[in-house]
Amino acid sequence: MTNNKPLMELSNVKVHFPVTKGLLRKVVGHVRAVDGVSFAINPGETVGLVGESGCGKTTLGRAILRLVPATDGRIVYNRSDAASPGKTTPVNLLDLDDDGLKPIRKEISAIFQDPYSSLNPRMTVADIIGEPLKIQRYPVSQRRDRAAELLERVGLSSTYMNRYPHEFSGGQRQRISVARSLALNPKLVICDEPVSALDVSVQAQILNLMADLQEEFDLTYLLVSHNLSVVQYVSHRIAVMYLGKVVELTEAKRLYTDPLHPYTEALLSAIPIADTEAKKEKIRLEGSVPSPINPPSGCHFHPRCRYSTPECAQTEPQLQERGDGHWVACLRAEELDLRGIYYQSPPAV
Amino acid sequence: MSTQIRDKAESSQNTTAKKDYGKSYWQLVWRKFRKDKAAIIGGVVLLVFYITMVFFAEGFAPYQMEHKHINYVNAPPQLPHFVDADGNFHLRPFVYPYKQEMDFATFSKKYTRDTSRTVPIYFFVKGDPYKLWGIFPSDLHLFGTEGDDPVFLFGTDRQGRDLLSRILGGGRISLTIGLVGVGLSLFFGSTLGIVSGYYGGTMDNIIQRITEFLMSFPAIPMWMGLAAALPPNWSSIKIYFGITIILSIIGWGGLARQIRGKVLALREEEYILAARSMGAKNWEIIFGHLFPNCVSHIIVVATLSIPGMILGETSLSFLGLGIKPPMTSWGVLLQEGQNVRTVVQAPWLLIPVLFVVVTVLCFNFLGDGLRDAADPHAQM
Repeated sequence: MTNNKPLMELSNVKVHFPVTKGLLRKVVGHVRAVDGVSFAINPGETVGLVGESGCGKTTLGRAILRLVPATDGRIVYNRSDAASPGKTTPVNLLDLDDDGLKPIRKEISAIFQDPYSSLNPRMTVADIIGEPLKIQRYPVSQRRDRAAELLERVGLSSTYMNRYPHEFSGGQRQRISVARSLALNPKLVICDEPVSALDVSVQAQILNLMADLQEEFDLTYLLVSHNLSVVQYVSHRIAVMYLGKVVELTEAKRLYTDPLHPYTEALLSAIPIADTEAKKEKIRLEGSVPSPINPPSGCHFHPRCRYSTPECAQTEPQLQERGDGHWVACLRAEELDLRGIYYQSPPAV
Repeated sequence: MSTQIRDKAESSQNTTAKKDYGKSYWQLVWRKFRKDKAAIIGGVVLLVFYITMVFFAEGFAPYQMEHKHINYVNAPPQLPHFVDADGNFHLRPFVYPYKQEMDFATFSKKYTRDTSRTVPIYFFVKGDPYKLWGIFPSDLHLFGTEGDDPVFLFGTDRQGRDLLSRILGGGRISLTIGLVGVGLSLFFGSTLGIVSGYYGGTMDNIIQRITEFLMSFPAIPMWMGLAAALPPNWSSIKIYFGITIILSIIGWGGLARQIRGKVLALREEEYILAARSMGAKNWEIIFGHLFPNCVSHIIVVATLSIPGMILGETSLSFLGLGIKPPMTSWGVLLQEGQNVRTVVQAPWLLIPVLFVVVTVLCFNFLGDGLRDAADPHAQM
């Protein structure tokens, strides 16, 4: 990377959905799906975003894509200048209207979770992959050429161009989905649970493909997933979300070996390990995720935290840096000695 | 769990997928539709009806619709024969001419068959002159007789008009009014349904309340009220379109709701999200994704709602509020059979009912077949 500027900076991003009631749709509260999230994504890296369902990770991804309106905050995308390499212009995505957003949409694309729902059953593969080009008004011939090229690149035959999605398996469909996301040579790809609908054996194939493509095309990924094993496999840095907030953010290896947040510790202890000898204590979290309409006072995690003190219910911890690039939002982060797990570095690709 | 179900669906899909490589959705629909015998028969019968009645009614009818055979009033149907009274076989079908005598008890004509003579039926005969589609003058009829003795396969009405010719001519209006009416319903229904489902919110609320309001009217009184409001001095063509609009006013509500439901489901599909993430405009999503995925549904709903329109027109005309003579539709023909006396003395005047029934049944068969075929991957 020629510069050290992050590709995207999120600061205090909030997405609140109004809860309405009655005939007149009176707003009676807000679902704080994303409640003040700040972090940066550096060019060429994969940031994993993990958390249990309902924590707001998908909503955050969609807010970046401007599919759901963000209530507050800034999503700054540092756009590199085609004319002068190395120079970037920061643009706040939330300030732009549809027309202003359109050129930037070329640079940010998305892969969705369900390969059965993300491909229009009435369109041929060529049309599906060419859709981004069509929307950006590229000529038809170019669309087909690009579709053929991308099909080969994601490991499918370009003879599949005129087939329909129903003729493919889940893994193949997800490859088509990946091909579509690459159609416009994006810089950043938001991957919303790209493999959670797939077979475990196929998951690895798709993740490897994504890693290959990252290297080849200099892609940056924001990988949203609930599966820590998946995130571990490909991420450089990982952000852990709980109830609309990032509670811990650090390099992948450090998160696994040296977690600083009790929630991360609990998540890590739940990763299944295929080793009958390994002795492992599972930390069972009590209760379920509190309602994001009425989040608990103080630290959102305190009702389920086994290390919580009365203070945790009073003061809301801020995301603070403890050591080199290791951010955590826990009042007792200094004093706690939390257990990580053995980190298995991803296979070289 | 869900992946398990998927895998199953996938493996069963893969076995069928072997033979449908590169087949488009519509090719798959056709393949499945072809297997449904009832739907095919319905479709073929309707095709025959539309060709004989809508396009070439004058040519298929032996007489002009308004040709009054004043000597043959209320004549019963004549059956074509091949074997005459002496037992001789004729390759050419023939009918026996009528002998008439006055029944002095009722002062009505009584028709008896005169089996001493035969009236042979010829094909492609010259008869009443007409203009095909109002342009091409012709006098060619599919069948008829030569000489003075006419042929009435379905009998005549009280003005001596051939009922078969009138059924064929009336079919033109009865059959097209359903299509035009459904076309209008489709236009309003699918536009409002898609808008309502896609945009949601206030727009959805307003459209749904209007639909509910319209649908809460009882259909027949509403039709009657509106039909009565059509000015009596309007030309037939205006009346025709007036009636069509009246019929479709009720029709679009149901369709709009169905399409809205469909769009509400489609809106959550990830390919819509994907298109939006690529910067697609609303119209691009509506015409590129929503509409193509609704088309099969729209076609099915349309096919299944045509019978309602045809029945509606028939009922209105039967009540004397729809199409009025000299325009002729099946409902107008049935109006002739409104009193018991006619039904007792000339039951053949009810033959148009058969045509209505057959048409409605065929549309239902066709619609059912289309509905099953519209989802070609469903396992039957």
